[in-house]
Amino acid sequence: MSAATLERQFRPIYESLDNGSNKSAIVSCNKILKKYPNNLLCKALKALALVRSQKVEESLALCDEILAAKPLDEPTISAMMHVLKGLGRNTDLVAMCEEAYKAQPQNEEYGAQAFFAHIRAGNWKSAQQISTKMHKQFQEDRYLYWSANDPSTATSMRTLLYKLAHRLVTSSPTPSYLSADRFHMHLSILKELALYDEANTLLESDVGKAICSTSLACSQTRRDIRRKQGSFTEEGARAQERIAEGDRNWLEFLSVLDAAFVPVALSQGDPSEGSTRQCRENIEKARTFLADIANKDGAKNRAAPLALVDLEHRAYKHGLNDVIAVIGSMEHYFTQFGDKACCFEDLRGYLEPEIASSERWRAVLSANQPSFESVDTLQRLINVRKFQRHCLSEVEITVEAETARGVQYLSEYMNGLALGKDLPVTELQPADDLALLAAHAFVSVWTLNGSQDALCNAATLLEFGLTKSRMSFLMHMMLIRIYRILGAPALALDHYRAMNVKRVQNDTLSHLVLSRALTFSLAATGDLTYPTECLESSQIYLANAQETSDFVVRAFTSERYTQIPEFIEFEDRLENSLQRDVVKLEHVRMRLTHEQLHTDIIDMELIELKFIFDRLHQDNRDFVILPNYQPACRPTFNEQSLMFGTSCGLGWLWSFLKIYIRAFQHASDLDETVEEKLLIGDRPKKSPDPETKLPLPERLAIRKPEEAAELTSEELRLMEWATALGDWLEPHHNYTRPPPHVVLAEAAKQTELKTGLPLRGVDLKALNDMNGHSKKDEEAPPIKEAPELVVKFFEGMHTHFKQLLENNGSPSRLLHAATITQEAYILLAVETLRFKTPSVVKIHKLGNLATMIKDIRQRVNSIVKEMSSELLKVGEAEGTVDRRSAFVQACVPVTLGQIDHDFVLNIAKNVTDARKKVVEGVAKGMAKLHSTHSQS
Amino acid sequence: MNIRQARVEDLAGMQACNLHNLPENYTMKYYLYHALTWPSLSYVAEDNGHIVGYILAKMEEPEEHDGGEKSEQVPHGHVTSISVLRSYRRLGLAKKLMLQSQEAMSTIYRAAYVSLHVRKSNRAALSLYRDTLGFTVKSIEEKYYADGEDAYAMQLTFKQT
Repeated sequence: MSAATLERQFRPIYESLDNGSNKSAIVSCNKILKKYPNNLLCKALKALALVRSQKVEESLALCDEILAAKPLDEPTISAMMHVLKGLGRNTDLVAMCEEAYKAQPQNEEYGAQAFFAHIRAGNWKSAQQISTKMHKQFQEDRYLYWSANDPSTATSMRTLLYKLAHRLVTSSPTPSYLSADRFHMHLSILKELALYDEANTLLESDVGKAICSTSLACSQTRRDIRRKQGSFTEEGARAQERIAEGDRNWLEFLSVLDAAFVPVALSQGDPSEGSTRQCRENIEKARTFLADIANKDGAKNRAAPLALVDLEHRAYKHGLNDVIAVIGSMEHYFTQFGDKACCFEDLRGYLEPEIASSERWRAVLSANQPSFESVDTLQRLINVRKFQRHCLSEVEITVEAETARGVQYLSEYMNGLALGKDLPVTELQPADDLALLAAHAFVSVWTLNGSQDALCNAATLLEFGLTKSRMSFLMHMMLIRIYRILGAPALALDHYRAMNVKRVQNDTLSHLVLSRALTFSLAATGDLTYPTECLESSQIYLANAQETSDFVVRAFTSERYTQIPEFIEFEDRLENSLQRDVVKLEHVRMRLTHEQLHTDIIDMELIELKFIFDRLHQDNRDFVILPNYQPACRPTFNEQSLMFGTSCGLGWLWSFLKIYIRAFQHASDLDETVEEKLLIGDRPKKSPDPETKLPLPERLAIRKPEEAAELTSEELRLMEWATALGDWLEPHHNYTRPPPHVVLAEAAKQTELKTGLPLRGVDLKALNDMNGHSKKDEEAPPIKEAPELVVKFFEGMHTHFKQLLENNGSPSRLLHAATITQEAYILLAVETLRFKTPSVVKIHKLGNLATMIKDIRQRVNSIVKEMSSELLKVGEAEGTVDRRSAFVQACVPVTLGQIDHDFVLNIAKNVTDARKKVVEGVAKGMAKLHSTHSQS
Repeated sequence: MNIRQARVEDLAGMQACNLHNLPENYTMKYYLYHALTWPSLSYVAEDNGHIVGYILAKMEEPEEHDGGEKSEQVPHGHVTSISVLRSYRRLGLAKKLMLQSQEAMSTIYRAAYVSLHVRKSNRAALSLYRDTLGFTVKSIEEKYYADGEDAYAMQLTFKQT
């Protein structure tokens, strides 16, 4: 095949791969392979398309063929890099790159790839060897540098990178001060390596001073260096000069303030009289200086006035002035900047409880007359309301008072709408925050009396707000939280989608809808909305694995060493994201409700969950983005509106991992030896936490109060139940599990049936010899009575469920009780799967055990069935005229201004319909699971 | 309010700023590319540790076989994305971010001018670019945005120093 023909033939394959149409890529590959069965590039591209369409086994076989042929051409290698990365076969990836580099020592790219593959795996020694070779070949210093130093940890690697960068910048013939960019890098390097004297020489030079005066980044690095050296006073003087010249960056103001308070801030214990006197003098000087700047700037810039507030606040904290002085400065600030939206956020941090409750501050606020004359007066009113709300004391927070406040905020919102009536639809109403405040007040009512009526009010008024400000993501987020509590998840999901969450936001925001999504999942009935949402939100992690690591290599080859740690850290944050694995576990929980309990699923998920169990997680979830205008003495809106009152953090993840890993391990035939043999790719790096060094059974048995604190009472019961069940059955699982050679022989047989090739890396004969003497010489463990808890759990949950029904509990709580019971029902099936096989029972004389299990199952079956039909009745009652009119009735307080009866009725319809759908769906799903699992 | 050079780990915070604007859908790769290639052109505005605004910018270098207009033959800066949280508007933040980036474009990369695209409907931004920063509209690009809206292509020529 000529090069041109080849090029023409391959183009559509690359295009299909780029577009994500893996199927058509495979078809095109097969066509070429028919004519040219040995074309390596074509095989590699096919392997890539297979990996991307989750056909791991086929891809593996193809992969082995290609690797055996030792590919050397660039397109094949680059395709294989993606394949191997996708399969997690880093060891093979390193080997392939090394091989290619050996064959083509002039190719720097291969060298760098091999080098970085080692670095990422923490194989420092091998990386060093490669860099020695690369230095010989390319005569470049950076390789020599790597080979001469031996990093043994990530931290030492970071230092090494900076040393390398330092060498590069100091040995360069062009001095760094020729460009601000390089000068900044040079300074950062010196800062990182704590070479302060060298940094000072650079900074004190005329050219250095000149650069710092124009380059923001350089000036900031200089400031950091000075602070690390402890030269606060000098830095303050310099900042003062900068401010006088017109710089208004806040950090300069902080430098001035820090310098003023140095005498008291640095003293141990009570400051001496001398230092207090010194400090008072400094404060006086700084005050005069800042007041002067504030006067000059007027309303143009808020930095100096805010710095004055900060100054008085610090002085108050050090006992150098009184509350009145702080309030005075805040009053001044509010008068000047009360019409800016950020005024509340600016001052909130200074509102000490004694200030918030003082008559003086309250008088400042109430002196402001509400006015809807202009956007500025409206904004001032909004700020007043925010401050007043923030400063409320416990006694002022009652159902009546909060309802009245909610209505007041809402009427003011309606008045404020006139100011934005001509805005384009993409704009937000200037009055929006009043609607947010009103919703906060109603949510607060709900926390006080527990009645969902208040939440209906909040939802209605926020829905109205969105008709006026289509793009208000704050309203969307509040609604998501409220609808989840109200048990209308479809509406929550609609609002989540309307926010158009994308890319990295999937990592930071998917917690809004995916935490405890099992509660609302209808996967058991075949509706895969939530499982799909889980998979889609996880795409970002695949993109990260493929793309960010490329940037690490690119940063290295383009000699941007100082950026490498940044990229590596970023990659790690996404790779080990807590939310990633919370979503993964949620997906597993849903998966078990709609797929058959096949050993394939159990084995695969077991391995994946065990990997997760070894990770050091990073929590990237963003909760700060939710608005919070609740009084300072009360929990934040985020805390109040978390469904079931707890977030799914590390404690939740750890608890559920322990439940599932243990259950899967019992059900699986994969013991450690087998798993080692069957594992595709490498194990991920283990977390440095010493706990991960303990044997797995010990780790699974650890219970910590801080982990339990993240569980709901239902989840806690599930955990206790699963522990009791596991303890009871574990000895029998371990005794009856077939020996490794039998399991591997079966796996080999299956692989050969599927792919036509033998299982790689498994020598069955050797295994057979090794397992010559069977463990069956051991005595069978005695069969014990089933622990009481195993059945009692279901009865207890049923009683709990009925209580919730009687007390008219929220639908989401009801669904939670039902789905946790259902989860136990499935876990019971997983734990007892092995003892369903008659031959196992017969050979191991487990008849007694099987009878006990059967008895438990029967009792549990009827409970699940009953719960399902009770839930169905609840669903039928939703979506009726009665329910809608109850909703409308509840919303009388907010049926005002432009919110009319019809608008409320429409929301009522949406909410009750959504409830009906989810409650009936879960009920039907339970019935379906009942018929599946009660059959045996 | 503090303005500083953007770092790789700011990505999540920058994206959070984007929630209520109408930003285009840039891939993560694109962000990383900016961070690696032109680190001194992108800035964030920080308040109490939160990112409340950002500018993401890049350089366009003339290509040897570039057959485009004459103005494209010289290196110039391009503002990929700029955004300020709603409650931090009307404080001159966007202007400060823009000036920082422009300064770097002109001094580090010797850019002759800076270009950007703005939605036709975005009156506030249009007035910022035109009235406050001195940009002029060069052309209208029809259906420039994914949702079908037209864009103004705007430019500002740097004074040669």
